[in-house]
Amino acid sequence: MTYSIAIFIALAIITVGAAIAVVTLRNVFHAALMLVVAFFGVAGFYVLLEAGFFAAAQVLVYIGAISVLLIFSVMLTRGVFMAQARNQQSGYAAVAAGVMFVLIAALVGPIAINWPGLRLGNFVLPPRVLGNPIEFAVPSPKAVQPDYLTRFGSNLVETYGVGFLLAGVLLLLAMVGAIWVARERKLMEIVLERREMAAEAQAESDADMAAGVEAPAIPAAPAEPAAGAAH
Amino acid sequence: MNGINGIPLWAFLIIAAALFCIGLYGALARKNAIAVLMGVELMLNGVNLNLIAFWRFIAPDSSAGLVFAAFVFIVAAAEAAVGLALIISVYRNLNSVDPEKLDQMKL
Repeated sequence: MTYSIAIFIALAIITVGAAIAVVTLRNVFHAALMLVVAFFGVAGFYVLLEAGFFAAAQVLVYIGAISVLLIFSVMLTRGVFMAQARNQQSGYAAVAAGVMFVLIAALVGPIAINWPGLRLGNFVLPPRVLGNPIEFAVPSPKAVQPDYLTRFGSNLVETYGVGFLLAGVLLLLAMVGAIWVARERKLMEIVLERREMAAEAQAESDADMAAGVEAPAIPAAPAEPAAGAAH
Repeated sequence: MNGINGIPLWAFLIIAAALFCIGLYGALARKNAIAVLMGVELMLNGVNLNLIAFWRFIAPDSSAGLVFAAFVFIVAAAEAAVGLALIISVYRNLNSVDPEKLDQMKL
């Protein structure tokens, strides 16, 4: 019993500390490594909550896939140098996050002190769901049934089958879209090149006008640069 | 003994709230778009911790909370893939990953 409380406190310190390091470290690569630590801490919380499957999924999906993706992106954008890690509105962002935390803590407070609710005539705080007051202050929650994972799996494809299929379609579209967006393409270069050419033509015709020479009526439109030629 | 092995529900909720708010600060205040995405990932982790804590304490017999958490996982993976692809595309074109420099669509 006391072991689990000690583990909880250690996990809390590690997770929140790593999360603070993620948002404050100037080096984005170090921030990504701290993010891995924070993900591990959250996986530990899942273990404490007796949801071992989700702890495994957290390690596989977040640490195995998303962190590696983030670290790859940090490597691919290695050339950028940032003078400072935070933008101008970071003070306001800190205030916003602090206010948010206070508001959520105010919502959690009644659960913490086992607040029975406030009755004002027919109006009851905390609000009711389908006529029943929400029993948040569970003194001793029921044990997880041993076959919870089996029932989770069958529920996922039966009761929530439509959502499951839509999630699959979403993932497929996201992957195709990611490849489409990140493919080799120099659209912005093409646009900037065209803008430069137009400006040059304009400057030329202006100079001709100033020199009194009969300028060509309209500077010839710059030729469409081939999309592949830019690279 | 209250809670799961002596740990009450509110302890998990406060940790989840702390993760969410730290992620919110990171998403709002960082100058590097990849760090902004890291903040969003932290926020999603806070939400997921909330979902699983409520599942364990309120409704361990139903798997609705677990299904929701699984969908959050899927959305997080899709979001990371598309977001990082966008950042890499922007980096190729502008040679920068500062979200404040992306003002081409401003009038």
